[in-house]
Amino acid sequence: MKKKRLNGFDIAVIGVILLGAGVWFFLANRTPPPPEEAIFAEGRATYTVEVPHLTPLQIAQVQVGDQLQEATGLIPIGQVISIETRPDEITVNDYEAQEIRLMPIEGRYVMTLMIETDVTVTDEAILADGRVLLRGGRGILFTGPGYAFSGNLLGIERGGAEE
Amino acid sequence: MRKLIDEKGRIGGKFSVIDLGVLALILVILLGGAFTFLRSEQETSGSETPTGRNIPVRYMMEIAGVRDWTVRNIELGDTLFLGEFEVGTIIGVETEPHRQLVTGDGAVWWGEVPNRYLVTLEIESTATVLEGRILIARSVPMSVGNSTGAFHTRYTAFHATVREFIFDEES
Repeated sequence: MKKKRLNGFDIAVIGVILLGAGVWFFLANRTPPPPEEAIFAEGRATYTVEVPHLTPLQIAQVQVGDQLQEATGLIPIGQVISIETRPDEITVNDYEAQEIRLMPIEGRYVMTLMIETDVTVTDEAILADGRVLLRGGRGILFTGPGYAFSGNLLGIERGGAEE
Repeated sequence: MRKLIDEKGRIGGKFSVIDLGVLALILVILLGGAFTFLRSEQETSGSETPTGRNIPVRYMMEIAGVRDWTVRNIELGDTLFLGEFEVGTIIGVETEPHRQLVTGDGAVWWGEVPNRYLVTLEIESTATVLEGRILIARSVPMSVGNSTGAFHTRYTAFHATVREFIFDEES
């Protein structure tokens, strides 16, 4: 039986096929780049929460220095660093003057808290304790020592961890 | 003078023309396969990605009846999201008092609502126009007049209504 020997052409064909298989294997097993959202930073941020329709007795429960938690998951959301109050107001229609006016609600106040906390910052979000989304326009249910309120998250001060 | 192709069909007496032809054919098949593979991978990387031409677009949105702190939370250059999709960059912000239709006591009139604002945002993005549908950033269907849901930036969330599309290039 005639012994088969590889000539240059055979080697070239095998080489090209092996090269193609290698390229195919490389393309099929590439690791996709991580999504941009995965890029994040850690830092501290200050944000503002407004709680409407409170009585003076309710407002007196809250003190500067209180540690707050998000009420449903008991997740730390920071420490109260300032408290401001102002009379609560409601819009009423003045049909005679054809105007919409703000009128104070007697005995009711709006409490505005500034809260400082550790945050995780992504392209899209700022998260307290890596879990609670801090974004203006969202409602937030929170607890402190002996109290629980629901309020509106007004906004986060820019120039903190996200910059 | 030495011939380029000898009587046995070899170039320079070493390489057969047929051999080179077969090698070239195999290379073309492999390159074609790789090109097809890469193109199909690009098209399926986002299952909703259409194959239409992506062109620059600006669109105007209105946020009605928001309070001053929402206005303060919106800044030029902020990236806008709808759900998980990035739908553009804010390049213009205009604010005016919010007016509300009031009926009653035998009269109908527009009243300016204290501490409520109408915010008009100009957004820069890209759009794909396919059979009359506009897909922003190749992903999010949008049309004038629809209120598609809760938009958000890193700092604030709001509901908005698209009022106008401005294409920088004829589609």
